[in-house]
Amino acid sequence: MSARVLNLLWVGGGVPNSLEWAVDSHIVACAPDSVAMASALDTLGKGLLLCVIVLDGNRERCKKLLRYLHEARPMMPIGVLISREEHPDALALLNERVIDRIIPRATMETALWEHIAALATHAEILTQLHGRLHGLNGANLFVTGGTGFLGQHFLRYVLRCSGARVDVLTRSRAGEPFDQRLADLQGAFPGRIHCVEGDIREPGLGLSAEDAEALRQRVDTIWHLAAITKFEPILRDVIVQTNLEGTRHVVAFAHTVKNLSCFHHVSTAYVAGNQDDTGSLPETAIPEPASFKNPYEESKYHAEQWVVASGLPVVVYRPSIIMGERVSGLSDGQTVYNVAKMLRLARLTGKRRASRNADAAEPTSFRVVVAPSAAKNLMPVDEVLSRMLRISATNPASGSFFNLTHGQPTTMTDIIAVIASLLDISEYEAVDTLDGEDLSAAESILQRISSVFKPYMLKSDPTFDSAGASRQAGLNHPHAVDRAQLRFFLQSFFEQHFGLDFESSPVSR
Amino acid sequence: MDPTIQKDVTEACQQYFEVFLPDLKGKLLVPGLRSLSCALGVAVNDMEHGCWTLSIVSGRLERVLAGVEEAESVFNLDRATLLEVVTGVLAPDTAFFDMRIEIEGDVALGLQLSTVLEPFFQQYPFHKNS
Repeated sequence: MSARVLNLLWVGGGVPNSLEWAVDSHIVACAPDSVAMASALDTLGKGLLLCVIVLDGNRERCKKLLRYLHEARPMMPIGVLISREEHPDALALLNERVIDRIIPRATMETALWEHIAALATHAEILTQLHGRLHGLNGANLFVTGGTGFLGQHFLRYVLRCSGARVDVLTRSRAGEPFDQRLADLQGAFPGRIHCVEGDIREPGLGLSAEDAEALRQRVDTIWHLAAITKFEPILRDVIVQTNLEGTRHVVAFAHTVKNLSCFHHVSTAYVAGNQDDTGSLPETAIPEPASFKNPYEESKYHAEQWVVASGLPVVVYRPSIIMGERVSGLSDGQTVYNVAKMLRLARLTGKRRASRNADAAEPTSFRVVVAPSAAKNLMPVDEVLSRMLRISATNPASGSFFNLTHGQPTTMTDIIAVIASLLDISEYEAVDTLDGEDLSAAESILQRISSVFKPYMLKSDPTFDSAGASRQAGLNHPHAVDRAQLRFFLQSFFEQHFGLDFESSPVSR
Repeated sequence: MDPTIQKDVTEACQQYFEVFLPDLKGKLLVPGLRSLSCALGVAVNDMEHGCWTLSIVSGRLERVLAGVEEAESVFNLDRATLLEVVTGVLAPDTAFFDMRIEIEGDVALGLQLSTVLEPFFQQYPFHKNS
């Protein structure tokens, strides 16, 4: 970090004393208006460019400034320094994807550097990607799953780091017409992103004849990201319809595209199914595993097979467990986040039961069915996208597979410990099994809701070979997701989705 | 709560179960989901006579009954939470994990239903007088 030269544009308010140490950095402060910012940007050097806006309460003005900055410097990560008390809706700015990070004013003296460092890491990823995505300038991408978690980040990275034009397959949903679902990105990158109404679950993708024909003529690259990441057996039909039938529909459409250079298919490392934990997943097609943990794994395996056998020029990417983005903390709230939600619910259930029934006090400790040494393969979404896009820029051979996975998995011990410390679960015990009798209220609810995650909580993931992906991307193996990073991901999730306030007393959690 | 608003909210809840949902009878609740057959109860705990059961057969809403006696799994929630969920503002499983919905009866089935039905509330959002 110290070797980086940062150029920091500080918009509005005085530059805090805590940044004075930043000898390698060039900090320019300016007033919150576009003329002052243009002049300040001109005086900044050629190192990593970051911006912090001190939000003064005028949200509209803030959005106008952000729009200006996106146009002037599309790759510059922007943080907003904000007091949550004054701006309870601040998180909306993050969710609208107009800024990269919220910097709570309360952390200004103690942890400002951590926030700046996260913005700098993000700037580095974007700058390096920009250097590699020249080939996409003038390209016409067709993207499925663009309104999903991975898809929205994918679009943001592509739009920021290349000159590509993107058509995104979208469908309307509650109160949101199909062409409004990416309105923030369309506003930030005018003319470069276009929504096309359709649905991968329908033959012909549900496209109108006009849209289908226009896409056939225009598109040169397809990115198929759409999928359902749910594991419940009751959802089997829906999962198969989207993940497998949907993929077949996208492949069928791809065959009709006039000048298709590549079909990029986003699969999952968990196509490995129920291998024993000494097994490993090579970066090649694999024979069908003897069994899968759930319909999700099974549907993704068969979708991958279908794509590879299609005769199209295909590249397959297999990410492991996709966590949030390191700069914003934004996440899909699935997988590890579900485990955190379940543990919080168990704790709250125990507390509620104790408060309702004073005679039979709920025990303070509860048992969790988990194998402490089980190793889980967690990848921040920015790490996944950086690798995926860098690999795509090398024009890999058709039929290539890349495992976007970790060499240093995180253990369940780490995961549970971080959740427990965040949610003030002071006492818990890891056990192999829990019998139906003698369960506390917390254990009972946990037992009943955790069945789909137990196979993952009790067993290590296979080893995923990812040497080919790292080599092709020109990157080292990723650093492990450590406890501090995991805590940031989970804390951000609970703040963004449950409105929890981690600066207040633990009682509210 | 202001008595006028209170009355309005209660009427909206009633309208949802007695007018809006019956209009959807026979429709596939979630595209592609034909294997779902169950009786889901909803108990609105801050209104009188606020209990209904949705009978779902092969993925289609067959009927809406008063009471929760026949339900396998019952969502216990207040009027405000109900309206947030049925208008598509709040995901049912988020409400469950935040303890705004308590599931009685078959909890595992209830949790799965809260996941299953999210796209239904997105596809058929309730608007009062709709």
